[in-house]
Amino acid sequence: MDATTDEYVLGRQRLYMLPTRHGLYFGLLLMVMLLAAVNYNNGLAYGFTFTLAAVGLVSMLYTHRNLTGLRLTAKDAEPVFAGQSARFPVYIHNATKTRRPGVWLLSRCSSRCVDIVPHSSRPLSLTVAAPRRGYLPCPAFSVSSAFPFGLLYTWAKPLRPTTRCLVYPAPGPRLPWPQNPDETHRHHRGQSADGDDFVGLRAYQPADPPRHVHWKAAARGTEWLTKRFGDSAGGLVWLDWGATRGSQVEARLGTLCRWALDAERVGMRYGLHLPGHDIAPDSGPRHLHRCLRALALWGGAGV
Amino acid sequence: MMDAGIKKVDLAGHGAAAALERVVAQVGQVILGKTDTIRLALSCLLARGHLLIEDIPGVGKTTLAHTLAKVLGLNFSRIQFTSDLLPADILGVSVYDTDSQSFRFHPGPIFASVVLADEINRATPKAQSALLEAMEENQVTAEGETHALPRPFFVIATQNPRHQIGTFPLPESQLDRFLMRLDVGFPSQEAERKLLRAIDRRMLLESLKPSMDAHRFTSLQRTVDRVVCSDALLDYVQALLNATREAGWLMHGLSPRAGLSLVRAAKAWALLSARELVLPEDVQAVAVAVFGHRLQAANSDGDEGNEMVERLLRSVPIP
Amino acid sequence: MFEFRTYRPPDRAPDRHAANGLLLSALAALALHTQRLPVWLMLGVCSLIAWRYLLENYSWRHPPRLVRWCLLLAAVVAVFNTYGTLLGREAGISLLALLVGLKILEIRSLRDYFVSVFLLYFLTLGAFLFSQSLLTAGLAMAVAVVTTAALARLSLPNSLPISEGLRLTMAILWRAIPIMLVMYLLFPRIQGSLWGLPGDAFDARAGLSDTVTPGSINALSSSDAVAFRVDFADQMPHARQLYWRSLVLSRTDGNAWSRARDPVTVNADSWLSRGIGKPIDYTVDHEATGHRWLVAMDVPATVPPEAVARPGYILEAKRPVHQRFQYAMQSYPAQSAEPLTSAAHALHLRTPRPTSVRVQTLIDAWRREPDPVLAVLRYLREQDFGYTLTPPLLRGDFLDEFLFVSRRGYCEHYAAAFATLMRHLGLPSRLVVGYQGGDWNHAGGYLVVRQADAHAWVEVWREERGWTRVDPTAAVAPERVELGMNALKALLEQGALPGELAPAAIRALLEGSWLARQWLHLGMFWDAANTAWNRWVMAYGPERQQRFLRSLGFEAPSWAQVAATLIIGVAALLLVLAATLLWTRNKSDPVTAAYRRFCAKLGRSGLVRRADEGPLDFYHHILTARPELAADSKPIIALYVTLRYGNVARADLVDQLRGRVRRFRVAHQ
Repeated sequence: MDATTDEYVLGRQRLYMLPTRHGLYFGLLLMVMLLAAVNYNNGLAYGFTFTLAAVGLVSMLYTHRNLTGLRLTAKDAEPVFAGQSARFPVYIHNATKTRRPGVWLLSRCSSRCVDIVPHSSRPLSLTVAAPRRGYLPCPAFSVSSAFPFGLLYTWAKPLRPTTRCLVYPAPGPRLPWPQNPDETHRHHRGQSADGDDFVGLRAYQPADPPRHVHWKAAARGTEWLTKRFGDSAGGLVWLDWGATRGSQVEARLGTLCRWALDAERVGMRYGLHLPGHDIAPDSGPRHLHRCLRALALWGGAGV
Repeated sequence: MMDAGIKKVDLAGHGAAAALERVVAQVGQVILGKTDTIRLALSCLLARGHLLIEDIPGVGKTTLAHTLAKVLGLNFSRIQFTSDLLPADILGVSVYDTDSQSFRFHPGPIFASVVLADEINRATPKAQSALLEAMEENQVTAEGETHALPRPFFVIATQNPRHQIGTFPLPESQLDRFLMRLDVGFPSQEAERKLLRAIDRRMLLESLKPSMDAHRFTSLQRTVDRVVCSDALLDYVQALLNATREAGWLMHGLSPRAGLSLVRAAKAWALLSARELVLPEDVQAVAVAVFGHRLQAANSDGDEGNEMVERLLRSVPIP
Repeated sequence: MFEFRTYRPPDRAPDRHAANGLLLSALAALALHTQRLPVWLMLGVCSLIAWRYLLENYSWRHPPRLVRWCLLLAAVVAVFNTYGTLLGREAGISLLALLVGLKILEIRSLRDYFVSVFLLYFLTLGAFLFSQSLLTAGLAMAVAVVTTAALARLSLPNSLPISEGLRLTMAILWRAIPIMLVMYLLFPRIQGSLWGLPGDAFDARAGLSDTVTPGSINALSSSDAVAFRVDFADQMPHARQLYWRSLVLSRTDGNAWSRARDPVTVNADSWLSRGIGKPIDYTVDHEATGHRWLVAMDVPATVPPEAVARPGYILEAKRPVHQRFQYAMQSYPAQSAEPLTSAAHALHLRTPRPTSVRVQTLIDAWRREPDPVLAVLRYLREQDFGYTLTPPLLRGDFLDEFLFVSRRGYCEHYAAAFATLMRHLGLPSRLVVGYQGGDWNHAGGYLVVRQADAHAWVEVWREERGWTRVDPTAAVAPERVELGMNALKALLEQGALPGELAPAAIRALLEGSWLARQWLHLGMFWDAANTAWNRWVMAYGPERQQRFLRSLGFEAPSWAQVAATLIIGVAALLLVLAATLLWTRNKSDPVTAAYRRFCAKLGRSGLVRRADEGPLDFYHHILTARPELAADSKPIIALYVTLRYGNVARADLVDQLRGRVRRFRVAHQ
C-alpha cells in the first residue's frame, strides 16, 4: 500500500465567484447614489459613485487572485481507533509573492480561516468523526475567500481527494489473556507461574496479591490490572479469533485489538490468528500496525 | 573531474583544495575504492559536523575514522560502547588527590579531537546521551566544573544497523545531532582483490604520515565559511525542504536545522571540489548523507531513508 | 452528476480592530461637514462615537434597545426643531449624521457593520450637494479610503497593522481610477433633473446687477471670486482690447442706470457681417451667477447655442446660469456702423435736465467745442479728478456733486457722469457694464477674470462710426486699463496716484518681493487646477459630453453607442488589470532566461536537460551525448554558473552570456 497524496492547483477553471449578500446591497447603494447624481446633475457625485463602483469591480480581481495559484495537497490521515476523530492533513501552499489573507478551508463539518504568507505552506486539517473501522474517505472540501472587502466571494469547485484514514476497531474492554493451549503446553507454565520478568497484564481478580496490582494504572483511574510475571524470553502470545467470546464480530475484533495493544505495551511478542488471515508473531510498532490493520480491514470492511 | 572551465579560485590563498585533495588521496591508500565516502566524511568534518557511520562490521568503519584522524594530524581516541559503559567512562572522573587535598579531574577518552564512538547503539541511553550532550555543547561538566573539549572536536560514531537485539537505537532527536550518516558498503571486486592481497590495513595505518595539523585544519574550516552560497542556491534548498513538508510519503517535513546542515555540507563539498561557489550538484552530492537519517516514511512499509532522498531529489526541479 | 454548491465564507462578527477602524472613518466623514452641521449635532454624534469606543475598548455595556429608540426619537425631534423641517439638504445631512452615530453604537453583527459603512458613503456623498470644489473632492476621497479600509480590515488578520488596510485600499483605488474615468466620461448625462429639486439647491452669488447706481460696481472691487475664465485659440489680445460686455444700460433717471424695457431678440447673423479686422476665437468658462446674462468680448460676432442675441451686442442665456458652463465665441476688434432708428435715437438721449447752474454752464461751453467727446475727456484728465476704490457717498444731484465737489470716483461714477453729459450734449450714449482686463494664468495658459474686474464704460453714437466705445476711467487712471485692476489696487495700496506715474516707477512698485511673486505663482497653479477641475467635473454636462464624444470620433453619438462603448471600455480595462494581476508569469532574470534559451536550443535537438539536473551535470551530459558541442557549451555553462551561483552581478558578463547563447547553434543530427 502506498500512501496517497492528492494535489490540486487552483486555476481559473476551478474557481467560481458570486457577490455576498452585502455585495448585493452595495450594488443597490451604488444605484441610489447614481440616481442622486443624475438628479442633482452633480459631477462630483457621479465621480464618487463611479469610484466606488470601479473599486468594487477591481476588488473582484483581488478576490479571484486571493485563491488563484494556491496549491492544495491532501494527505492520508494517521490511523485512529473507531469512535475517535480522524484528522486529514491538508496543506495550502502559496508559492507566489502575494500574501493570501482570509482564506477559508470549508468542509461539511469544519471551517477555518487562515492567512497564508508568500512562499509558505500552511498545514491544516479536516477533522471528521470516525465511527466505524475500515477506511474512512476524506470528506469533500473547498477553499473560499471574501477578501478584500467582503462584497464578493470566490470558492473552489469542491475537492474530493482520494485520501483516506485507516480506522482501527475500537479497543474492547479488558478481558483475561487468551489461553493459548500450545503455548501453555510448550512452556508448562500456567497463569499462576511466576518468574522474574514482567510478562503482561490481566484483569484484577480479588485473590491477586496486592504486590502484583498495576497501581500506576489504577491511579490513572482505569480499571484494576494485575501484573503477570514470567520468563520474558518466552513472552509470546497468540491472539486468536477463536479465543474471543461472543457472537458479535465487532466486539470480538475489539477484544483482539485490546489484546494487541496490551501485548505491545508490555513488550511481548504476539501473533494474530484470524479466520483466513494469520500474522506471524513479532513485536514493534510496525507489527502492531500490521495487526491492527488486519483487524480494521477484516471481512472486507471499507475496502 | 571535468569542471567546465569554472574558475578554481583558491579562497584561502594557500592551496586549500590541493591540500584537501592530498588528504583524500592518502586516506584512499588505506580505504580502497571508496573515494566518495572519504570525500563525504571529509566534508562532514570540514563543515564542523559529527559523523555517523552505519554499516555491518568489517567494512572498515573504524579504519576510516582512524585514518582520517591520522592524516589530518588530529589526536584520536576510541570508545568501545558496551551495555555496561557508564557516562564517567566517557567523560572522565574526579578523583580525590591526597597530595593536593582536592579533587582532580581525570579527563576521559572524549578529550580528543577525533573521538570514535564504536557501536554506539550497544550502550545504554544514559551513556549515549552523555556523549551526545558533550557533542552539542562542546564541553563536559563534571562535579560542577566545566571542561572545554579540544578544538576541533569531532565524534565519529559507528553503529550496526542489523540484528538490533539487545541494542538501544538512537532516538530521532539524537540522530539529528549528526550532520551526516554514511554507509561504507562493500568494496568493489577490484578493490576487494587488492585488499586481500595487500598487507594488513592496520599496519599501513601505522606508517601513514599526517599531511596537516590541527591548526591548518581549523583554518580550512574557516575557508568553508567563505564559500559563496547564492540566493539561487538557497531557493533550491528551500524547494527541497518544502517538498519534504508536503510529500505525502514522508512522515514529517525537515526542520530548518536540516536545511542549514545541508548548506554547510554542500559548502564543504564545493571546497573539496576546488570551487568557490556552491552548485546544485554539491547539494545533491551531500543530500543523501545529510537527509537520509532525518527522513521517515509516512508508511511503515515505505522506502528506506536513502531511497527517499533520491526520490526527493528527482522530484524537485532546480529553480 | 453536476453539483453546484456554493462555499461562502461564514460571517464573522466584526472585532475590536474593525470597529475602531470604522469609528475613525465616521469621524473623518463628520469632519467633512463641520461647516454645515450645528455644534450640538457635531457634539452629539461625536459622543455617540466615543460611547462606542468605550464600549469596544473598555467593555462598557451595549445600550438596550429602548435607549437606542429614544435616542433616535430625540435626534429626529432635535433636527426638526433646528430646521423646521426634516427635508432639504441641511436637515437631511443632519439626520444622516445622527443615524450614522446611532448605527455605529448599535453594531453587533456583520450586517450592522456594512450598514454603517454604507451610511458613511452616503454621508460623504451628501457633502457634494454643498460644494464641488477640488478640496471637497480630495477630502471626500480620503474619507472614502478610510471607510473602505475599514471594510478591508474585516478580512485582514489582526496581526497586520492598520496601515495595511489603507495600503490595500489605495492599491485597489489606484487601479480603479482608469475604470472610474471611463464610466465618468461615458455614462450618458442628461439635462435637468429627474424630479424637482428642493428650493435651497442653489446659493445666491455675488456678481453684476442689471441696475447700476454710483457705488454698485465698486461693491465688487474687493471680491476675489472668479467671474469667468477665457481660453484664447490664438494669442491673447492686448489688455486695451479686453472689454467684456455683459449688459447695456440705456435708461437713466440721472442717478441710476437700467436696461431698456421689452428686450427684443435680434438676428445675430447681422453681427457677423459687420465685423472688422481679424476675428478672435476664444472659449468662455462661465461661473454660475443665477442670472441669464453672459459675457462676450467686444465686439461679439457669434451666439452660442445656449443663448440668444439681444440689442447692443448682448448675449442672454436661455436659462439662468445655475452651473458653470462653457461656450465658444468669436469676436472682432471693431464693427462697421449700423443705422440707429429714431426711436432708439430718442431713447439714448433721454435724461432729466440738469438742476445745477454750474453744470449747465459747463455743458454750454462744451457745446461750442468741435468735438465735445474729446473736450469732456480732456476736462476729466486736466482737472484734479481722481480714481479711488473708496469713493465718497454722493448726496443730491449726482452730476453736480461729482463734477464739482467730490471729484473722486470709481469706474461707474465716471461712466455714468460721462454718459449723462453726452446726452446733455445731444450725443446718444449708453452705459455698458461688464468686465475689463483679467489676470493671465501662466500655469494654465488662460485668462482669469474676477468680480473685482467688473467695469462700466460708455458707448457714444457717432454718425460716421456708429456706437463707439469711450472709457472715461482710462482718461483718469490709464493704469486701470493698461495694467488691470490687480495692479491698480497694488498701486493704490502703496499710495501712488493713478495717472501720474512713470512706467518704470510703476514696474518697480509692482514687482514686489520675491515671496509675493512666488505666492502669486502658487495661486496661479491652484487656480489652474481648479479650472481644469471645474471644466471636467462641475461643467461636465450633456453639452461637454457631446463635445468630448465628438472629439473621440463619434459623429452623432447615440445613447446605445455610448453605453456600448462604456461597457466595452470597462471590460477591456478589467481584462488588462486581470492580466497584470493574475497572470503570474515568473519574470526571470536575464541570466536564467538566457540559460533557458540555451537549454531549449539543445532540447530541440533531443538533448533535454532533466529538471533536477544542475549545470555541471548537464555539461557532462552534453559531453557524453554530443561531444562536438562541448567546446561551445563550456563557456556558456561557466558564465551561467558564475553569474547565477557566484553572487556576481556584472552587466558585461551578462551581455557576454546572452551573446554566446544567441550565437550558439546546434546542428541537427
